[in-house]
Amino acid sequence: MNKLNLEITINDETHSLLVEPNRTLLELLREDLGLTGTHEGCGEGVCGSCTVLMDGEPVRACLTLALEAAGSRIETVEGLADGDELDPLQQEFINHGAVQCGFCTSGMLMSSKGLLLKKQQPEEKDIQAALSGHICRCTGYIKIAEAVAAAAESSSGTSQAQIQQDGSKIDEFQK
Amino acid sequence: MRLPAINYQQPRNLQEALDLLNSHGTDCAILAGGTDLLVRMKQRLTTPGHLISLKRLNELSDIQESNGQLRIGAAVRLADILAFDPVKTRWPGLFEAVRSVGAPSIQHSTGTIGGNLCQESRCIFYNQSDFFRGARQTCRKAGGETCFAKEGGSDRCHSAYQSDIAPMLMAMDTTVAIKSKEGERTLPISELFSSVGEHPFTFEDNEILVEIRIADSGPKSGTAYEKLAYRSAIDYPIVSAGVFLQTDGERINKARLIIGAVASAPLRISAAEKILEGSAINDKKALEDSAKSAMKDAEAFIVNNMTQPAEYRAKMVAVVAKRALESALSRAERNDR
Repeated sequence: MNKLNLEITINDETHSLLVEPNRTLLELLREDLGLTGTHEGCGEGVCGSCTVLMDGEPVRACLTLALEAAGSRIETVEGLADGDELDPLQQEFINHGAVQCGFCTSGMLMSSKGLLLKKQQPEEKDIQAALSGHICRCTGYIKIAEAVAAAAESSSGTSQAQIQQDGSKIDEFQK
Repeated sequence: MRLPAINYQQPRNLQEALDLLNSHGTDCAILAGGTDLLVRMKQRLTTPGHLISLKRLNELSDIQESNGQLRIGAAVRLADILAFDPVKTRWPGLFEAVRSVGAPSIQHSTGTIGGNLCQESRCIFYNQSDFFRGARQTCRKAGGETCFAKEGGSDRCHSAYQSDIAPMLMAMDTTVAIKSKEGERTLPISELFSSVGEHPFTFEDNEILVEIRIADSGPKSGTAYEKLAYRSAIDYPIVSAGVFLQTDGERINKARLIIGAVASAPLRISAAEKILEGSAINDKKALEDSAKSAMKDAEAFIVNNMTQPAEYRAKMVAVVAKRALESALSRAERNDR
């Protein structure tokens, strides 16, 4: 197999690589670039663990050829935190105990991130739809969905102080 | 799982793609979203020497409505169909069918309508890893002489075609355009399917699906799609129903009921259409009877090729058919355009 040129931006860093055509984006991330935060579960697109953002949209890295991602901006779980400061989603996953074994977590985070990029204040059904392609065998999804809702609240420009002044919003959130 | 070795080509326009298709013949596959093809390649169900990527083509990515007709390029992503307002308002059944495919985080931003229509038929004994299949004889779908889905074997393949979108398109007045190096031809979508499990499509190796054209649904008409699956996301339908109904305000003028996931092609239930056409819109018994006739017709095709027992799936045909008929009828009543 001839290796082909690939220009790709991963977590704001541009890479110029030579890859084999049958290399998946997942193999490229994990094996060639050492970004092992993206996990391989089923390898067939069913479980969602390998989800990354391609130009802001969640895709299965296991079913994306690396060459098909040419010229795209890829964001993986490693790109979420800003230095030591966690992304609100990561922080809320911790706060809500939405992580148990952690295998599905990076995929859950990336799909949630994709949702929040599109819709800053998602409704419950939006969150459920966005996470519907993911399998978690530990937490039972409720804590995960709650963590995403909380992250949406904390990152939608509404500061905690503002939320507290507005009692109705707290009630709504607690339902 | 690793993908087999391949040659990868990215034609810059449709003409280049058609030339490549023509020169590689059977030894190539068209890569659109890849959500069906790459899984099949990983499982070694297909090992094309060449992949022709549609990534750089923009000729197949248009969706537009003009004079009531909806035209969807074969490479339009499912997410773009859902975001196209006329689909939601004028073809709600199509919206339902597209929305029910896979999950938002996979098929919707990657999968295409052409890919969904051209997905291979499936069977629980066939869509497995190389390792799993290696423990048994080769089945007909994989080029062997036996069929595990039918008790006692069979002289043909009984895989099920499980596209969500195809039954809905077949219920509406849909034509598809297919191109090869020699030119373009259009055909009713029903003629896209061969009903042969081993090779479910009628198009040639050098042809590519380019466009889906859906005719104006007309006033007092309604569409609906119902799907039964164990999981609301990811799962393929166990059985499904696509319905188109047109009324004159009092009676049903035109009815189409298509059952999906039971045979190697979407199954048109003519008996149900005969019962419905001419019956009053408030005739509950006509709906019941036509749903039952769908079950009777489908029963002959259903075999144990999924995890759910054939008997259960046959019963559920009547259930999804009735739900889809009721939903389409109530939409027809509200649609006085």
